Order: sequence, then C-alpha cells, then structure tokens
Amino acid sequence: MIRFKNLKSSQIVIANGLYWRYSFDYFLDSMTRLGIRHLELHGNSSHFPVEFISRDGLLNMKAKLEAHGLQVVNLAVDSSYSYPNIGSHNDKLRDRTVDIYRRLLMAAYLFGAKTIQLLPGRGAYDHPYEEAFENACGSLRKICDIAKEYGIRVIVENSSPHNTNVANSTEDILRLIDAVGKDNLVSMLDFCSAGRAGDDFKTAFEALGDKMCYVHMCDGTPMGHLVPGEGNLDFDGCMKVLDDAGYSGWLCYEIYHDNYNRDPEKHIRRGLEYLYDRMG
Amino acid sequence: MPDRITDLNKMVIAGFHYNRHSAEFFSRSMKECGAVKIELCPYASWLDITDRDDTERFAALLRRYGLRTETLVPEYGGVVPFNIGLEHPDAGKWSLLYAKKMMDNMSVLGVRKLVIGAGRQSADLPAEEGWERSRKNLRELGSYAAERGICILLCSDGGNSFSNIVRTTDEQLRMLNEVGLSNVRAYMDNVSIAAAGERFEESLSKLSSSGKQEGMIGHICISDGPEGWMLPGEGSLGEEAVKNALEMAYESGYQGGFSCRLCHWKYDFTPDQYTKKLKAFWDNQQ
Repeated sequence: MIRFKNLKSSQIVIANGLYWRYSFDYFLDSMTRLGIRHLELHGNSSHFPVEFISRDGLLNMKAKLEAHGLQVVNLAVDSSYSYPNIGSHNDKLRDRTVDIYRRLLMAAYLFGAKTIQLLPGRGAYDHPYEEAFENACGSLRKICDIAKEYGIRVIVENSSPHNTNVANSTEDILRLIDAVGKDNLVSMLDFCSAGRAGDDFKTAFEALGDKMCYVHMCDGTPMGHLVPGEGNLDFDGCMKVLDDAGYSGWLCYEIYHDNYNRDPEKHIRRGLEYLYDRMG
Repeated sequence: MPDRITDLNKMVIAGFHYNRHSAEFFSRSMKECGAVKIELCPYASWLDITDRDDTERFAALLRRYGLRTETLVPEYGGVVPFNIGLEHPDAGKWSLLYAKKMMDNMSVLGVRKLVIGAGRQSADLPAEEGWERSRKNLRELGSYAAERGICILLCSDGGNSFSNIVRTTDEQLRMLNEVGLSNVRAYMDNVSIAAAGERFEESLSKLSSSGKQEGMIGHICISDGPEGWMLPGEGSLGEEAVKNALEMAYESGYQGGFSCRLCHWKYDFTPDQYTKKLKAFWDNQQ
C-alpha cells in the first residue's frame, strides 16, 4: 500500500452535495461524527439555496457551522445543468447566473471561505463554440471583479463534454483563464474530469502551475465520482503526483453516485478510511 | 392500433432531451417531425419563464414554427430549486413566488397546464410535516391558478429522486383529494409508476375509480423506462408495455393528450435523431 509523505488528513474537505436527501443539521452532525473540520458547500442544494436564501437564513447557517466547529473553505453551485450557466446563449439566464454567483460570493465572505468554484458553462451545442467561449469569458470577468472586492479567488473547473462545451481539458481551461485575463481566476484538478479528458495527471498538474488551487479526489470509469477502488482510475497515482509535489492545498473528497446518497455517511467513511490508511 | 394514437391533436412531444441545444434547433426539429404540440421544459437555456419579455420572445419563436405549448414542466430535479415541500423557510416563499410569476406568464405562451411535483423534504425529518407543507402550498398555487384558468397537474415520483412526498398513485390520489380543488389534477406518468413498482393498469383504475375520471386525470405521459424516459424498446418496460399503456388509457375513456418524453443522457447530443425515431415508432403502429 502506498504511504504519502506530505499529504495530510487535515487537508481533507467534504462537500455537502451527497447529503441532498438530508437536512443541513444532519449533514453537520455527520461531519462531526466523521471528524471532519473543513467543508465545501453547494449553493443549489436544499441546505443552502443560494438563489433565494435570506440574510437570516445565512446567519443561521453560520451559527450552526460555528457551533459544530466547522470551517467552510470553498463554495460552489452545481452548474452541470443548463442553469445556472455562465456560457448560456440566453442573455437573461446568463445575467441571472452572474447574480447567483454574486450571492455566492457574499455568502463565501460571510463564512470566511477564500474560494468559490464553478464550471465553464455550456452554450447551445448547435451554436458556434466561440459564442459559448466568449459568453463564458464575459460572465467570468464580471464574477471575478465581484470576487476581487471580497478578496476571494474564483476556481473554474474543466469537465466532461456532457457538462460543458467550453472547457473539457486542462489545456482548454488554461486557454479560458488566459482569455479572461483576471489574476484571481484559478483552476483545479478533478480526478474524473482529468481522466475523461485523457489528460496525464502529472502533466496537467504541472501545466496549471500557480493556477492550481484545489483538488476533487474521486474514482471513476472515468466519470462517476466513485469511492476509491470502485472505478478504474489510477487514484493512488493521482495522489502520488500531488504528494511528490508537496501539494498543500485542499483535497475535497467528492463522491456523487446515486448508489451513495441514501446513506452518504457510510460511503464518505469508506473513502476516508482509504485515505487515512495512506496519509499522515 | 387505432388512428387516434397518431392523432397529432393528441400527441405532445416533450423537449427535455434538447436541453443542450437552442430553442431554434428544438423548434425546427419539432416542425420537421410534424409535431404540433409540445411539452415545454423551460429549465433548459431557452428562456426565463419568470421574465415577461423573454417569454414573449420565446412565444414568437414557437408561433413561427406553428407549435403550441400543451404542458409546462418547470422542474428538473433541483436544477431550478423549486420545491414546495422543503423545510427550509426560504424555499417555500421562493417556490410560491416563482410559480406565481410563471403562471402570470403562461398566458403569453397560451399554455394552461402546469406540471409540478409535491416537492421533497429532508429524509431525516417527520414525513407528515413535508406532506402538510406541500398540501398547503399546492392549495395556494391551485387557487392562484384557478383565477388564471390554469390547471395544475400533480405528478408522482416513483424513483424518489425529485419528490419523497408523492411517490405512488395512492399518495397522488390522497394529496389530490386533500387539496380538493377541481383544477388540481393528476399527471399520470407510466415511467414514474413503474419506478414505484406499480402497474399502469392499477394506477389508471385508482385514478378513475372516484367516478371523476375526466376530472382526476389531467394528462398522461407515456415512455419506455424506468431507467429514464426512454425511446420505446430501449427501456426495461419494452415496446409492448408502452403500446398497452396507451391502449388502456383510451379504453378507459380518457380523452386528453399524451406526452411522449425522452429524458436520458444518451439522447442529449443528437436529440433530433431520437425525436424522429420516437415519431416513427408511433406512426408505425397504424
């Protein structure tokens, strides 16, 4: 069994997405039972409906997080559907999307998170690629400008062609970041997305350089966001790349498969045991 | 198979699988297939149904292609976080506001049938609380809809993905009776019925047994499944089950429309090809 020299269990982050069937209180209690300290919160979940949550709702969340001794390090809105969508060909839906991220940034500031994260968006597949790309760039510039006021970085994540037609690989995401031209726009690596894109993980990691900000750890076939060992990705190999490089950022253990969401704690625990066996 | 099955006045083709393409593409594809009535799913990047201008723009597009919207399905599993059963104090308020704005704009599209689910409450909370919350919100929406000549069609979620409040036909019937409004009726979906482990024939009988058959069933959706809403022959139910469901509905005296829905990731990249296959399936039954 591989043993990591540098990666630490204290870098592990758990997202609330898998707990969508359960209440926020249940999720927080589960994190306490699992000994987790750091969270990624998803803003289109029943826990945290960012599009319309009230100020009191946010303050209530913050109080509960503090009572559990939990820290939110990253916020996201699942944008693998058509909405929200920074690349949408519909101007009104794009404007609403930017508004959602404005609210997400406000929440991030309130919770003390230093980053938010999003997908590159999706334009109509029967429209020119460049239209989606330019729309995504426009939205990202607006979002980054808002984020800068809060001192927050924006992570844009490449994903599969099913989720986005703007950026599927690390090369695509670097082109996007370059085109947007904002210094607080960074990226990350998701094991499944890298596998789906056919990217060599080490090459992708090195290419991102100082834009490398975050990690989603998961197994897959190559997609699926599975518990380590249930897919065919080289999970340990990806972790070793990070370990060898002395990566000290957050490691979000993100699993999503339908098989897990009725008993999320059980499957999170399985993954944590896998990781703890290998980490310091 | 009677001619009426391919009666274009009864067949409604849903647009879920066009969610990665433009509204223009969708409209053109529908026209090329000979469709007249559509089931509109505005969660796609086509329009902001709560925005009057955007809705008028979209309505003009549909008119250009000779299409009419028969049913409106605004939800898609939390994509638009419309959830009338959720315990979050802000969710109910927003969901009601969203639904009312949507209903205010439905007249622009000329559509009078709004399909919604009963919502989903967190599974660790008492089920009856979610039920009462959903019922209360459905009554409020039903009253608002009645003032606008709109019929709300309550669907069940046998797969327990989008709703854990109304999953079976019994729960659907119970909720409809408790809401007690004549303009809040059932949306029968054979895929959801199968996912709940029920038989279409039994569900049809239950929703008809009150003697208010025409009033209780507002619309029927028939697809293969229940792995998704599949092309007939591509799901576990199979072609014969799909044809039988339609035949049973006709034999029961049902006079309303039928939605034919495709919703599965495999259809998303070439939706027009699958729509042609769907249309060809029903044409070949004559």
